[in-house]
Amino acid sequence: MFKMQSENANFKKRRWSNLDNNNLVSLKNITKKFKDTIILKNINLNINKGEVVGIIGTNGCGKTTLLRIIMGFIYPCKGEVIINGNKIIPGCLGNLPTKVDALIENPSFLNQFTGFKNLSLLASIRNEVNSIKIKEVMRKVGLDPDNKKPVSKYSLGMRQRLGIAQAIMENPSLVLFDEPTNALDTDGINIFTNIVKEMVDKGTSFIIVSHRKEDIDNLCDRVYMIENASMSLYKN
Amino acid sequence: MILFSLKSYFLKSKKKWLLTFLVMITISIVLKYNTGVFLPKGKDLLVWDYIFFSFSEPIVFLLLAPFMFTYLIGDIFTYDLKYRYLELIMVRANKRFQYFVSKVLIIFISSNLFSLCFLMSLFTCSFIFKMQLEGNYYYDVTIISLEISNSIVHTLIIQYILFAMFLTALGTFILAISILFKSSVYGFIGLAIFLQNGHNAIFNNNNAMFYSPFAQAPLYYHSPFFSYLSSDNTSTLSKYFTISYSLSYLYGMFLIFFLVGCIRFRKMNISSKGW
Repeated sequence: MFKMQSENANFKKRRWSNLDNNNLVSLKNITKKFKDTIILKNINLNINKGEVVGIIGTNGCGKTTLLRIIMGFIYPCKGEVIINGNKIIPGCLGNLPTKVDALIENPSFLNQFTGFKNLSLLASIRNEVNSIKIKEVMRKVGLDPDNKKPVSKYSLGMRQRLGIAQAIMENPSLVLFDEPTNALDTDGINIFTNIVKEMVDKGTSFIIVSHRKEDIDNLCDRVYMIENASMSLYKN
Repeated sequence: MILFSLKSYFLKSKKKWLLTFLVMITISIVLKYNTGVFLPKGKDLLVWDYIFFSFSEPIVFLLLAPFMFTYLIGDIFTYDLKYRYLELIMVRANKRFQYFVSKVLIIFISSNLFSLCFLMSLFTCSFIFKMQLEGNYYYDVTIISLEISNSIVHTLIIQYILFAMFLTALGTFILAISILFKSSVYGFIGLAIFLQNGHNAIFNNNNAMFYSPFAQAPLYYHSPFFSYLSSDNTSTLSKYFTISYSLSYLYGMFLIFFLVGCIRFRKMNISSKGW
């Protein structure tokens, strides 16, 4: 127990020295309404390179909506999202974030194909990683890339691991995780924690939405809470 | 994105295409036994007569083509949305337009593949029934096409283009409707309305062919073929329902639904929750 706490302290210390105040994500006055209900109101957030930010809040408070806005899946009613200096414009000829990956809620794949085939297909969109890298990432999350089982026969935990693998395989500069440890066993949680730590050391930023206090405590530099459509700093 | 979309679509729908081809073969055999409507008793059925007749049969352009094609491509958007696969794709896209265009391209390629498969099933059937290429023609389209241009292949190309263009326009309509309503059901409802409208145009009121998407596909009803067959050669239909009219109609339909889909997809919130 003492060893683990000391490791976490070292991890955070090492990471703070890595932060170079390079702003990666900037949310300015984000407001989102759905019909007459205000879901998010005047949300402001800045995230630096190599920083891990946690977001907590009750079910339905708007955590996932915020992640979707950052990804350009949902239009904010007001405000802007800037990633790597580029303003995110969801429109057809707009501008979606690059070098950003995400695992939002339970991942969904093409059920009839193997995990490796699914990742290979997704990787063919950006065409940035080859099959060796995909296999390496699958092994890293504890999946066998040579497993011929279709994803339909995967357990929830295996699907979640595959979801984590697709989110990290293309070396993104920002990863959004929504309840990443859902359905993971202890071994899976340890693997996930180590992956985040390793990637943070290389300068990747994370936004993690989780109900598990341990995920937030172990990994996040700052924690925000969404309550009554507003976001406030919960823990620094 | 385009390569990914094509690859994942054809990998996903292999079984659907196989089933469609089997249905096409069955329909081709049924059509062979239906050629008695134009073929005199005891005469040999020729390949070209059989092919042009098959493309102009209501069972093909009112039922087989639209419904089987919708079965093949009807869920290209809703599958991604419903199973939340769209999120994994859009995370990797630079622009939403890339995704939309890749879906339209799937429709275009599928409509050509569908037309080719249908042609292939007709040729397979004509081979099985040992039909001849040369001899006395009895089907009006073949006879008139020889009178006008002396080239059957040229007429076949026109029929192929009309058929493929019809499917492309129809597919774009289905795509736009499924993006508009985030559901495939409304596409099928639209299809049923088109079917009723097409049936009325072919069997009851020929003048309605100007407005029916389904009536644009068969060559048989177009001038100059229809004008030769119609008792009233001076009617508007005989004069103006031409191949270029149908191509413009289908192109216009494609363009309208391309824009509708594009504008809606531009504005939509990507979420399976319905908002």
